[in-house]
Amino acid sequence: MIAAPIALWGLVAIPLLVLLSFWRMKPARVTVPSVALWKRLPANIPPVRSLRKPTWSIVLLLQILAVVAGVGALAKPVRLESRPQPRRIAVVVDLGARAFLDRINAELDRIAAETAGDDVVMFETPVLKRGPLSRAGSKVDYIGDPAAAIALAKGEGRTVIFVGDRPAAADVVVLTGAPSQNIGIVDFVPEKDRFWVKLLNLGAARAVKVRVDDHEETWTIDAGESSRRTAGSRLELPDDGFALDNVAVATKTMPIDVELRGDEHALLRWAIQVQPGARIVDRGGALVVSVGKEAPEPCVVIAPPRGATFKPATFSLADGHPLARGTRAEHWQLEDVAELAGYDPIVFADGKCVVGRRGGRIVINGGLGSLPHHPSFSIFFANVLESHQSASQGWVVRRTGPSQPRATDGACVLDGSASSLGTESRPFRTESLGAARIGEVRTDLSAWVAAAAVILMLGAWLMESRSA
Amino acid sequence: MALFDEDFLKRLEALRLAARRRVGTVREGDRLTTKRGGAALFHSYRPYVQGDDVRLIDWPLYARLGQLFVKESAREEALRLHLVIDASPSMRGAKLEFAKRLGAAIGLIAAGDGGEVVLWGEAPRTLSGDALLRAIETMPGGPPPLKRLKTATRPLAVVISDFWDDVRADLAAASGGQLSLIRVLGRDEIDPPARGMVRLADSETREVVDRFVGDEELKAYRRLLEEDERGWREWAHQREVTFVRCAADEPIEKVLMLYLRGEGVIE
Repeated sequence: MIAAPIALWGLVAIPLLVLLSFWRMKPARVTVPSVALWKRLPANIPPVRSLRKPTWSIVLLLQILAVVAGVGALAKPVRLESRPQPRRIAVVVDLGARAFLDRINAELDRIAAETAGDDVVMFETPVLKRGPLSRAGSKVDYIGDPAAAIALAKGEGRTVIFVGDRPAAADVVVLTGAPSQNIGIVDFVPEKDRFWVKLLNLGAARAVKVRVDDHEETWTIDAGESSRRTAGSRLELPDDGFALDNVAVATKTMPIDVELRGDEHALLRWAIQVQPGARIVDRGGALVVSVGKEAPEPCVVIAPPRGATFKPATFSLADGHPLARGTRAEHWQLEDVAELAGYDPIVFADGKCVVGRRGGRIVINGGLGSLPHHPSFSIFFANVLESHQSASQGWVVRRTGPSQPRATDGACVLDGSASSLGTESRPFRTESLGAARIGEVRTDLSAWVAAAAVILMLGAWLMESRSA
Repeated sequence: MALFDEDFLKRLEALRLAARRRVGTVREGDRLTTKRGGAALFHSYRPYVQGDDVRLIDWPLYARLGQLFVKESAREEALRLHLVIDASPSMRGAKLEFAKRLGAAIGLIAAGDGGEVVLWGEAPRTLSGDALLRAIETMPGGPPPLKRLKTATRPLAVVISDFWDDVRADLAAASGGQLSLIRVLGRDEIDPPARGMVRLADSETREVVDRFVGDEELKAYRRLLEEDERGWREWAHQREVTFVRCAADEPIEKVLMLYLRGEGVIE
């Protein structure tokens, strides 16, 4: 198809070009070994009929083709093709905490295969993220409402495919929920020395194994919500398939002011600052940490050693001591230590107690050496502060749910809705999207034709210059 | 690139240069070369022609027959061929390639009998065998040194050229021996393809001539070419010089066997 047919008037240049070529009658240049004979040939005037005869040449042909191509380019030739138009599609994926990623990814595979060639974007929700369609959701996020993402996708004028565990107001709804047998801990409240736990059983009443602190019990859990009391501060449903609501942990914690005395030690200050609830104060702290000086209890004293000092070769930890929990013996690289007598040992150097506790007084009887550069230093002070806090009465549920690939660490899902995994599975069906609209695609060929014109013109010029 | 294949080289071995006149030789060789006078070996009689040495007339035969015959003798001598190949710009392309192959073939024929070939380039070089072929293949361009050819004593010379330049004066000076001129023309020189208005440029002088070329003009061109060749032949005949014309697209074997053997250049 020609978009600018008026440019075809340019073709009248062809007869002019032909007439011009006749008029020019430029002699063709021929190199011969010798012109001796030719010079002796009389220089005849060409017969008139030869002037009138068209003298077609390759150069003239190339010039005519170049003019045709040039005019063609100006006329804007376009190629029209009927092709399925790309559909504008938004895939909204609910990657909330209840999502079954394997099921979602299988659906995304099907959607990607069906929408190849379409204009597809993907919205991940509830933490709204927009991007190209990915075949693999990789991270389950907090619970939220995908409605905002669906509204946003519709605002872009797209057909919205929603992939989630429960119906939403989208054009195509793909559900990955399933008949649920999940049992979840949906509430966990400390009451003096016991805990009140609320459970949600989305299946039939059944007996389940429950790990309470370090021992296992078997509980019969009714369908729907139920509650009971337990003594353990850590509760786990180890055999339940949906792990995110299977664990509840309560810990005691309270704000604690720590007073630093004596020599300033930057790593010591940092090790205390990072502890939950800890605040460093100038005076009147509930716990004193002193370097090189005596301090009133409760305190941690990092003292110049009293008594005969020695350079230790090996360190070991007192078995099961709560203040040594999580630390590693090889990190306790103290220097110039002396034996502590009359203290509950925490750390031994060459078999002698060098870090110990007596009442509210904890003593590190030597120089810190390279200990502050190891994680065990912070862990030790975490144990010290936790030990101090555990004396308080305030229980706080700090976290629920194990670290698992499907969930963000520390996600707090003590919520009944989080445990409900939806009840319906509705796979993506290709026909649900509707057929693509057939539209005309115009491909502008002007550039190609113009390039051909330039090449032909160059060819004509080269041939003419060679024959000149 | 080899100039010839093995079969062709074997066929060349059966050919020899014909020395019809007294020409310069190399040394005592293994073939008979006709030389007048001082015969070492009787060869034949031939009728006396004006200019023959009267001392060679066989008078007893005259007494018996009443006609004058000259005794010709022959002795074994190797020939020295002076080979001149025109490599000037007018010969460029197929003509020069043809001239080189033809010259090489004639040179091999001459060298095959123990003779020598003096290849005339910037300086004359005496060559034979593979060295001759290499020298011909790699010979530089340039006009033939015909002026210097006269320095050779009674040369047995073959000049291969298109002879567009009038070199007759130089050739006359060198025609004391046995001279063969082989004119090589391209097919486009024999039958020019140009038609219409043509600007003809000389490949050597760059001289330009504008001509309209139609049927009449082509006829006139061919007539001029015939006249030119007739002029060469007449000049050659007067001086007992052999003149052969061939086209550059003709087979070398045809030129050797038909043209050159027909003219007695080789036998």
